[in-house]
Amino acid sequence: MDAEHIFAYIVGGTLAFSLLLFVIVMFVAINNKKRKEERTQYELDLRNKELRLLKIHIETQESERERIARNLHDEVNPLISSLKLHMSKHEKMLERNELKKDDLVKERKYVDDILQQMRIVEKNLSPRYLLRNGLNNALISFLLNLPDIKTTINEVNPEQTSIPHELGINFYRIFLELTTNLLRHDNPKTIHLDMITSKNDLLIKLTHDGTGITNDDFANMSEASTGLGLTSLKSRTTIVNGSLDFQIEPTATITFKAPL
Amino acid sequence: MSFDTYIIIHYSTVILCGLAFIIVLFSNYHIDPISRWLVSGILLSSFLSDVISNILAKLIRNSYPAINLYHFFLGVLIVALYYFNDEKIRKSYLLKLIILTFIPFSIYQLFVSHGLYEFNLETYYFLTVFVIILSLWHFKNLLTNERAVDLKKYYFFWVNSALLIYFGFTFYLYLFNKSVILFEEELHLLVSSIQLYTNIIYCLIFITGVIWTRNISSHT
Repeated sequence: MDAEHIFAYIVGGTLAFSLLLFVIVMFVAINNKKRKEERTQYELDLRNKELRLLKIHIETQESERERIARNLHDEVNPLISSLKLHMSKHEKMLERNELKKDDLVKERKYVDDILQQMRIVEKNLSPRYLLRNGLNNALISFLLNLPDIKTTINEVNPEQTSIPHELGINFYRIFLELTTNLLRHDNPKTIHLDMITSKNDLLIKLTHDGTGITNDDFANMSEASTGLGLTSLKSRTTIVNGSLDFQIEPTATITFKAPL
Repeated sequence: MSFDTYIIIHYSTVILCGLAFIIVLFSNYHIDPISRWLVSGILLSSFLSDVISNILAKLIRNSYPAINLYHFFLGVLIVALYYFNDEKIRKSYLLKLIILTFIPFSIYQLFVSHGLYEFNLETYYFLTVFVIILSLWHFKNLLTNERAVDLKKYYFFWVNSALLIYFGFTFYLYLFNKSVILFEEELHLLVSSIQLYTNIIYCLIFITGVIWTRNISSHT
């Protein structure tokens, strides 16, 4: 082999080695670029998720304020107006010395109704029973006090897990919304509550003998609804990273599950 | 190049191979156990083939039995390494084809065609070609995966790079100089020493990979 061939051989070798290095360097460069893009996308997704949660949070607050305002407007305002009318009427009667003790019964009834409505508003603003007795007791108490409904309860909490306050309020409101809708639309006579609290999650299952709805029904209602209840229910479920499941077979059930 | 220089390079390579084997075997950082054993196996077989071929060269003036057997075991270990580290390669027909052809072919070369005492160049070509294909294929698979791999935590990247550099370069060395390497003593020595340098780079990449991933793990 002459010098020329050896030179060509060495040059070829250098090129071959450079080519191999180039392949590896290119791989590293493309991979790093891909990783950088992935990181940017991840950060963007994270920011979007935070924004979405914040939006849901604000929407929930707004819808609850609206509900309280509507409660005050629809329930308390007419009562106060009626009370005012009666008081004016009684004032005139008093001037004429025509007012009797029985005439005041209606006013007292109005005051009682106003107080009851105020309690509902107060309960919506701050669930005191929940704060004082915890989520499990609050839910059980709420269910046991439902009029004309036969309720049974199965509570399981083997590890005596306590639910954080913030989560508890959301769970409580979700439960209230579910139960209110159930009573309003499904006409149940009996409700059975299964409440299973484990170390990692909470499961609330309402089994009832009402008409019930399926997941598809719920999705359709959510899309069609402009009311505050379902919006609040959906928003809170998203906030707590929970899931809802509606079944009608073999028995009508509503299952809510969320991580703790 | 003098023969003494060649011997120095040769011993350096042997020592480095042994060192790489110990480092890889006793490292526990981001290397799954199967890969660790297989890479250790590759380095150990490289170390042993160097030592035994040296002994054979002195005893019977023919080191090819050790080299030929080394290439056979190396092929098996590398196939196993890709089998366990790349799911797409594992499921491919090409790997099955490589397994079904390489083993019978190299056994035929070892015991029938060329025999143990003659250099099985065709087996070596076969080995280098399929290692280059697997190595490039693995890079391609990493790039087409849904998520990019974190190279700071992925030891097999270093293994794959080491295999690509070593086999890619030695393939070139042998491909164009088949007759010359085997029959021209001086050039044979030169090419062998270049191969030893490549071997040093190959071992250094294995060691660097272990150290690199270890540093990352100690920081996190």
